[in-house]
Amino acid sequence: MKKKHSVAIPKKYLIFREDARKISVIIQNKNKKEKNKTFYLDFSKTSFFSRSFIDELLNMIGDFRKKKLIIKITNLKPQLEKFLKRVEKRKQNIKKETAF
Amino acid sequence: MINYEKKINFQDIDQELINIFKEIENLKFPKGFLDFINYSVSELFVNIKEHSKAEIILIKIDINMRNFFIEISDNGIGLRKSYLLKKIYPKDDFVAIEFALSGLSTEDSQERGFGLYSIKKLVNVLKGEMIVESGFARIIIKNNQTISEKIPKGFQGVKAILKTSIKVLDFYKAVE
Repeated sequence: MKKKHSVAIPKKYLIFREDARKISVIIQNKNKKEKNKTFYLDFSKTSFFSRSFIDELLNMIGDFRKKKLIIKITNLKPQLEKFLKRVEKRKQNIKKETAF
Repeated sequence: MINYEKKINFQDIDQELINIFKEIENLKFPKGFLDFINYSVSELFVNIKEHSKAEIILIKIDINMRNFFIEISDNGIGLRKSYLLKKIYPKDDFVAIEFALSGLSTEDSQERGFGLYSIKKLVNVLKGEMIVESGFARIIIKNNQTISEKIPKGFQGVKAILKTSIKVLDFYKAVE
């Protein structure tokens, strides 16, 4: 069932950083109309993420969080979820390693 | 299986990558190997798109029952110039390739620049071979060893070659 405040991602392959930036623009536009605190990204049609795309997506989610806007990822295929967690963990480790 | 050689314009890079994915996803591979191919090919294409300023990209792919081979080259500014533009100063082309293979990015964010480093790691796990050329430098990684060679006439842009036998890979364990 389609969630309210959900953004359906139509692409099967998400590769470049600009793919994540386009999603960011869609959320910004949707937020102007719907003024909600949480938005859901529906990745049911996606079967591949590149590391660059995930990196940019996580940056985007972090930027929205600073503006008190929560982005939740839904309907991820198991292998994509595994990969996303891997990249997320790596990003957190880099942050720890480079923190003063 | 697949034997494919193509010269494409920079603006067609997105569509070409999707074409490659579609061709490859129909093939049967041991567990984890398709993840390795998709990951490596996407990272190499992302590097070209984000850093190369190239006009032309050459792609060679040869996949048979046992072996995987890919060569992707561009006629862009090369690794050293890419770093220099971001005020990172490798003393020569060899150091520029070493920077890239160690994960140092020309992008501003520290989270970036992991592409060639992680491909190198995966190729080592598969006991394969990786060759990177840029400017007057060629670096060959094989059996966890690194060999440096000078390219007398030089190479404009960046060339990356991956060669490995096709085998099972615990991709999510190997990729950082």
